[in-house]
Amino acid sequence: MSASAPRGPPDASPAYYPGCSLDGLGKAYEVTAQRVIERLGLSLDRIVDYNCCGATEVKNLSQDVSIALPARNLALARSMGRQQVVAACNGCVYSLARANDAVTDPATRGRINATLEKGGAPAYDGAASVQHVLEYIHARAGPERVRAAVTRPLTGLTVAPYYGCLYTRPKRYTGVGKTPGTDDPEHPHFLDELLEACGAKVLTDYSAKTICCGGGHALSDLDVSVAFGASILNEAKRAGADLVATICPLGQINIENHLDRIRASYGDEVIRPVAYFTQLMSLAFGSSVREARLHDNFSRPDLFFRARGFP
Amino acid sequence: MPIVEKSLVEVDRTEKLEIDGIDVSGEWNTFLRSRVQAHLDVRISDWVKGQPQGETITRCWQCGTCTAGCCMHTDYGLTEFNPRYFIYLAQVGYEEELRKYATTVWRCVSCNKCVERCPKGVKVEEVIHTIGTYLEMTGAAPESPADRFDRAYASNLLERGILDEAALFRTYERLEGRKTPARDLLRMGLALLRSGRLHTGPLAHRTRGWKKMGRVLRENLEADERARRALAVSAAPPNGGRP
Amino acid sequence: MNPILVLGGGPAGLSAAAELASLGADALLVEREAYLGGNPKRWHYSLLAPDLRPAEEILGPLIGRVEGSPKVERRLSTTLTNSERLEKGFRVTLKTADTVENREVSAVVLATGFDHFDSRRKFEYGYGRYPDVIDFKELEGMIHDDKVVRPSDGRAPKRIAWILCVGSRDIQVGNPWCCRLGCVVSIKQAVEIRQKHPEIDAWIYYMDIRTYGLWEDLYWKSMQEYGIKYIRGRIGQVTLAEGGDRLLATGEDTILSRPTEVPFDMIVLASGMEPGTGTKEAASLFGLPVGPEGFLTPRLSDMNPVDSGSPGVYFAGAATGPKAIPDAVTEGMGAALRAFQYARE
Repeated sequence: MSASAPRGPPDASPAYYPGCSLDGLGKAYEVTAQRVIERLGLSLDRIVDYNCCGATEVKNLSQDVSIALPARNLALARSMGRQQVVAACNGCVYSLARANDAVTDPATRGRINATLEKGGAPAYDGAASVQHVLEYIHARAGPERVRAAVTRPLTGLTVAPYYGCLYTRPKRYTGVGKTPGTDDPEHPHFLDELLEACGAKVLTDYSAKTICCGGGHALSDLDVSVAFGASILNEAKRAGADLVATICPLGQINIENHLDRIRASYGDEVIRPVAYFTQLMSLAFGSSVREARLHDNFSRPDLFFRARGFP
Repeated sequence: MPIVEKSLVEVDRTEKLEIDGIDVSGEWNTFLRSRVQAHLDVRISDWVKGQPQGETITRCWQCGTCTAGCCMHTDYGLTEFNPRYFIYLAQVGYEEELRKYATTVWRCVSCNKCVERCPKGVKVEEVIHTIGTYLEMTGAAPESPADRFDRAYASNLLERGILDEAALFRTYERLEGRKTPARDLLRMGLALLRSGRLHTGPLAHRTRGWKKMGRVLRENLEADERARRALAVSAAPPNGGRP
Repeated sequence: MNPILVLGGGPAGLSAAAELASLGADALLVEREAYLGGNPKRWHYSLLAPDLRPAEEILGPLIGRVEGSPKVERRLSTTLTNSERLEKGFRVTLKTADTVENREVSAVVLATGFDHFDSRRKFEYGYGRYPDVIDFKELEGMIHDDKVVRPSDGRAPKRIAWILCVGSRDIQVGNPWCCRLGCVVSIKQAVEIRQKHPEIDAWIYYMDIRTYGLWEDLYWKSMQEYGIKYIRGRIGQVTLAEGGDRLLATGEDTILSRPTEVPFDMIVLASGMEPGTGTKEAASLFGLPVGPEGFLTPRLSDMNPVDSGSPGVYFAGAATGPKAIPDAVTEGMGAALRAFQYARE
């Protein structure tokens, strides 16, 4: 059984792990995700005093520290009495699920818990499952309830759904493809379904769906991260998308951070507005452009939507 | 017959020379290295195997599934970035050949498609990073930009429990000796500040009660780094693995 | 003497039942499906490796011996739902769509076989998503009827690729074992196609070719006489080629150390063997241990591969692991003999 598989009846209100992005650069994601979740009659309980998960960086320096960082958050969720943890960032989902996999080894769990204790944190029993907020919304509300909540359908909007790399990968950590209610690891479609339910036309065969954004090396290997950002936009252009929807702050920020370089190297015609899927869902649920914080995004989807008559 | 494999050519010195107005510049003492692989060494594979991130290296059977889906190899088109080949070189201890890729190995962007698909359960991405660490710790590769970033990231994060992204950006750009145009910084900073997304310096978020945890983890991190370095030095073959 | 139960009507079970009859014992042959012949029949296997003889030539006589014998009671479309050990033998419950019946048997031969791996679980190959990605068991039927065409548009393919080890030797799908037959069957299919249609190109992507013992001959011939090409590398993903008409197999040619991305008209997946549904059920009905792979485990697999270790229960065929038809037939004979000896004791 996957380390991430739920082991009992689902929590009424799972623990929510914001991670560093959602509290900072990804604020628009945080605010709109909360709004969408509320509107769908769901609820999440924030883990207070969480810490950063270590992303894909810390594990290159120390295995134990890279397990202890996410394990502390999972332990906090357990001490809230929760067995499900929902995170909105692909990198966070990856780190948390990777830690879950690592502590299935009793020796590792013992070592990590000793470290946590020394640092003044509760021990982790290994019993929390991890879910991406997209999977959570899809599993708990599903396209039908989303459709019912739409007040201003995104009719006429063609969206390229960009999932990025670590949403489902690797399944040995995330349990995707093996655990019921999880997405397809090679051809994910949950985002497609939710946005279709919002009335948008979704490019389900968008070829850059699961490619890397290069965000891991956003600063350290500029050529690579610019090239990946460009191909995400270029494929969207080729497929005829008006806009790219993202589910990960790292992907969102990496593309937007490089817009000028992408424009300089690949031309203006590849540039598209990029927005978190929850921003788009918020709009469909009746939020104004401002409430959906579309002006936060450097690719300026706010201008795009205003030009199309969104209030 | 032309020599196509440049890496096999050893040039002692190159001279610019003109005699009676005729340019006779050229390469002197040019030798072809032997193509015979006569030296196998298990030290690097033992070292990689001994690291928790590298222990799955022994599972690899060279099917190429990792390279087939590798976004650096296939999507970005850097065909010399070949995780299967790096693992093979580390397995057989062909360090001399591996060192040719000393400035390539670090470029894995951790997309994990390899880990997703590997039929043998090799954690390819982590193994590749471990091979990169070995090259760096034995002095065969310079510290890579990604390693510098990882270190800056970890120390930033362990400071308060929550990343101060703006500070990390500044620290890292300074480490690389890059000057981000003040205009760009100002523009982005203002935009972030205005939308309440900039929490840096004194405004930085912190995890309550992090002090003790931060200290413990920092100690762990440093101890791990020291242990790896000591091991790497004792594992490194003299003369770069050349026979 | 009560009859001896043979569970499963594939090659191993047919062989066991026929052998029991020839020993003079009564056999009760129970088969879940409505026909005899097992997987070879179900999927219309064409020629069987290594001798390239039609499946009917091998299965036909076996089925004939069973159907023609008054000593074999055949119960098709029937499953076993319960078993209870008696002082000698078992009381078993046989269930059909509308009947339930208890019978006493003096010994049991479990010939419950295998299931082909469901290739949809290998997400990256797009089986079930792209119609021209097919399973090699489906190609068997096409070759058998000499109708090798693309399911998408009915056109004859110009270039076909085989991907070996789909759902075998793969931790990601939970099947670390070798299916033993994927290599030889794929090669055989390529040979059959090239015999009839030399204009079709045949490429096989492999990690290593496992054509055991005398089967090696077919592998050699496939290159020397039929011009089948081999590329060493495991395909990472199958996608639609530009234009959406053909399939793109992306992999690494590990000998060239280069990426390879070749368009094909059709891609054939050599899907592996998994423990059959009946095998799993039989294990729980008779309280037998299964190995980590889910196959039944003989007590002494080297000395007596047909002996379960539980008195009166014997194994034959792919219930204990991937197996070729000749081996399954041989084990059917061995299990029949042991069951007969036990029943007579």
